[in-house]
Amino acid sequence: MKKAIFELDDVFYYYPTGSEALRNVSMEIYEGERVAILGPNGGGKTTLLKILDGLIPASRGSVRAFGKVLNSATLNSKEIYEFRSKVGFVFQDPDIELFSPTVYDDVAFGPQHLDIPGEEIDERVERALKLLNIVGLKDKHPYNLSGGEKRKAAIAAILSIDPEVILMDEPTSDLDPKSRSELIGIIRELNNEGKTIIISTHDVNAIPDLMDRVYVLNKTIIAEGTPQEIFSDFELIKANNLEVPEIFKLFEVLRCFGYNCEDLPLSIDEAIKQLTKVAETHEGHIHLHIHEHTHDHLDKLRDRYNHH
Amino acid sequence: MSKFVDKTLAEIVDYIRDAVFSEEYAKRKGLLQAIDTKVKFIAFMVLITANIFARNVYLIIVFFSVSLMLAALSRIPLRSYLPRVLLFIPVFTGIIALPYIFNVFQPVEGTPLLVLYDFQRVIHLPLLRPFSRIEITREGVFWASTFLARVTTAVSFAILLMLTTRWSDLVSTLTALRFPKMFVLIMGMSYRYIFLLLDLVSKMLLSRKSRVIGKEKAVKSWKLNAGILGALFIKSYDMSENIYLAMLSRGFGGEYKNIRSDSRPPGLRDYIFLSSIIGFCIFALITEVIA
Ligand SMILES: Nc1ncnc2c1ncn2[C@@H]1O[C@H](COP(=O)(O)OP(=O)(O)OP(=O)(O)O)[C@@H](O)[C@H]1O
Ligand SMILES: [Mg+2]
Repeated sequence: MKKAIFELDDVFYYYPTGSEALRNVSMEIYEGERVAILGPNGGGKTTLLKILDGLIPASRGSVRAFGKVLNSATLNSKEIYEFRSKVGFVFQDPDIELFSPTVYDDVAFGPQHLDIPGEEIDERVERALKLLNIVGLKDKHPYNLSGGEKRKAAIAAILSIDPEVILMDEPTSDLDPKSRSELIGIIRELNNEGKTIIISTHDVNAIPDLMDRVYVLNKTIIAEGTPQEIFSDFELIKANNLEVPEIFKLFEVLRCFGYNCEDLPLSIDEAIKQLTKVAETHEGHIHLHIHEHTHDHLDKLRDRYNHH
Repeated sequence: MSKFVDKTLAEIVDYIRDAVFSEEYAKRKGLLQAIDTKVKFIAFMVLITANIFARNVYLIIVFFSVSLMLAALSRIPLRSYLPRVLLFIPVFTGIIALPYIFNVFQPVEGTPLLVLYDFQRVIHLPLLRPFSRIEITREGVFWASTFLARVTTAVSFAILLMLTTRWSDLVSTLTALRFPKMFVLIMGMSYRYIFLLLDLVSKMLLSRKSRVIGKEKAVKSWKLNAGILGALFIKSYDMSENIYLAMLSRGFGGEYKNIRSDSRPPGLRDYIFLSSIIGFCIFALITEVIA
């Protein structure tokens, strides 16, 4: 039985303006898990992450982290520093994270304020910069960085804290393909080291390979499941303006041509595995053909993906 | 809004941003770049203060020449330094100073240089001295040009300091000179985010321009500007809230702990530089008093 890191029970959140951002949210996140939070714009993803990071208290309901209650009293107490060094949050907008005169200062900000001894701060900063491949940006002013460089610097600023849990709000946006796949590799590596990863994202192509579990959030939790379960639920996807991975779409097309299997692959790796298996059971061949419904099915498929 | 304002705004933003964040000139090998930042900061404060105390417009011109000389010795091309200092800053302070050349805005009757209009009777207006003519006075012209010269010189010193110093060094210097850490943090952040917001404005102006076809009606244009201002306000409020949360998340508890402080002792050359600047300022001000 794995240890629960976050336990949310019937959480509501209202912004001071009165707008309701979260309603009836209950979830559990376990140690070492990789969880994606998927949802439309304004669905409350950022709000939920802020609650998980102990930055804002839930308006109603209970939030427990590492077995301890997070409410407005505990958030303002001294105990919270222990929590802060265990949980790191990479904000959606990297400009928010980078307010110091140099990248180095920004990456050192966390360790400095969490009372890490001086010599170790340098070490941690160097390690974080190296991991993200941005040692060369150390002395630059954040203002002079490109969007992707800012994103990496912001992530380094959290990794220097060396938290057990890493929350990231749409971390792959404004990264070029190379940086994006580097980041995916880093996330995987961090998870292998035992860190719990919670990511809000629109980047559905990154989810299958990376995440164990997906929550679909639109003010309230619409669905929860493995990537396979979520992406196969076509009604759910459509009702919430979600995308499905391109590979998944491709295999839906193949299905119209008579490709036959139960679960469609969501990523290149899965596709290779599955195609190999199918080919092996059919004497090394994969059979595709145009049958009487192929065009109807293709039209339906096109319709489906052009509408959202 | 007029093209002129749009364009000037963009240029001013670009220029100041360049001065603060571009490290191109700060990396060159020149006189000011080689001086210890703490010493340089003090020297420039001395120069700016002395310049403020200077009464005589000629003396202010001498101060201005000193800034040009220092710029030249620091390998900053006057071609790019001078036009900006001379053009933008005086244009704006000029707008403030201009009314003072007219007698109606002056506290005492001056020596008329040019009579623009004679009413033939005494006019009484609230807030103004009673007057019968509108004229440009000698004292007014002199006062306005001194004011202009003083501001221009002060600004040119400030710009020179920024151009020849890396922003991060400037921040460490403030800490080393015992400015409160919180003050330094807030100042650094203000600079950072003002430019971010100004970038946002120029982006919004640009996207508006690309959407507008033909000529905009004035009223509509002002409505759009109000919209931009509103968006800017919301954005800056939103950002400040999130920056605070991001700091909390990383362990900030109301006290800024910063290790960036420039503790290297200045060398002989730095002290020579500082004493010659101080010597020059004292000499200049004494000469003025005597003359
Ligand atoms: N500071 C705020 N004040 C008032 N309302 C807010 C504030 N921040 C967010 N909201 C509202 O709360 C709701 C959820 O916002 P949230 O930012 O959590 O969504 P999100 O899922 O992160 O969206 P996105 O994908 O656009 O980042 C939205 O309706 C939003 O308008
Ligand atoms: Mg968000």
